Amino acid sequence: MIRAFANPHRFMALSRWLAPACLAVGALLMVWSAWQGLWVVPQDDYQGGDIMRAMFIHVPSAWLAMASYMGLAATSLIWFVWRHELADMAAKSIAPLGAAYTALCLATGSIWGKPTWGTWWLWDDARMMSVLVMFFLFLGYMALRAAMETRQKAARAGAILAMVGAVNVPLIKFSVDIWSSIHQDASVLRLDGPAMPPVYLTPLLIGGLAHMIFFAGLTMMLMRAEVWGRRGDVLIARKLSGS
Amino acid sequence: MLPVFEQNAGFIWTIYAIGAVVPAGLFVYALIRARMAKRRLDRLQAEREQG
Repeated sequence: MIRAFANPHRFMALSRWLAPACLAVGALLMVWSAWQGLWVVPQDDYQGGDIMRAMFIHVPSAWLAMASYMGLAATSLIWFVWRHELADMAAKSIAPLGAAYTALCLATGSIWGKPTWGTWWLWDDARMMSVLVMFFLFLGYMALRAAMETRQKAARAGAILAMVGAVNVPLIKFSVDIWSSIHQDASVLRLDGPAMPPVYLTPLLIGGLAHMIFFAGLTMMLMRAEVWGRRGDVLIARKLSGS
Repeated sequence: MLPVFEQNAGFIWTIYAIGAVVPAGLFVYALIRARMAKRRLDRLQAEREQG
């Protein structure tokens, strides 16, 4: 099945319409989620009043940050095992997007934390620090790739870093249970179901879905750019070799 | 009409502003990358056909 999806020609034909469709649907759902968060949902006095509206931006960005790192590790593993170039292109495309979403998560969490907890940042909070580590892993992945002489070396070094760094993702998820954290326990992804009324849960889940669809569209756009870039490199190589 | 918040309005609007700017910025970044790569490929293909 992976081989069927690893064909660049098939990918280019599919992503030509799927990428803009994902971007349009994702953007519309994001606007709907923001409208719900700002105008429709009632303030929750148990969660600090109106500031809980930050949840509709911060939580989807946190989900996306973790999901994008898992995507980076998974595509790196596929490249490492089967050497499918499209998987390497996907990993390379996911990295800057994941870094941006992790930065968004950190920034919005910090701004939410000031009025809620009275501080912008806590260096001994396990959740904050593990997300910060993930941000540096994304930056490290991009820096490592850029430092390599050839594309194969960049793919190999990046894949190893991405796969090793994946151990951080479950640490982020379970950090509030294992170590001390000012963050509350999980309230959506729980074994006994979400501990949140539907009036908040529905726009939150749709907001998360919106960002994921939008992220998929952006990833496909960058992968298309990568395919075009590599085809251009092939033409240059042929020109230089005289063939 | 903009909603009126009892408190922390500055924090809420800042979070939503960043939440809009980052995806929009990523879209512009991806669009520029894609267009530059396509233009470069088109130019190289044209050069190959001519020469």
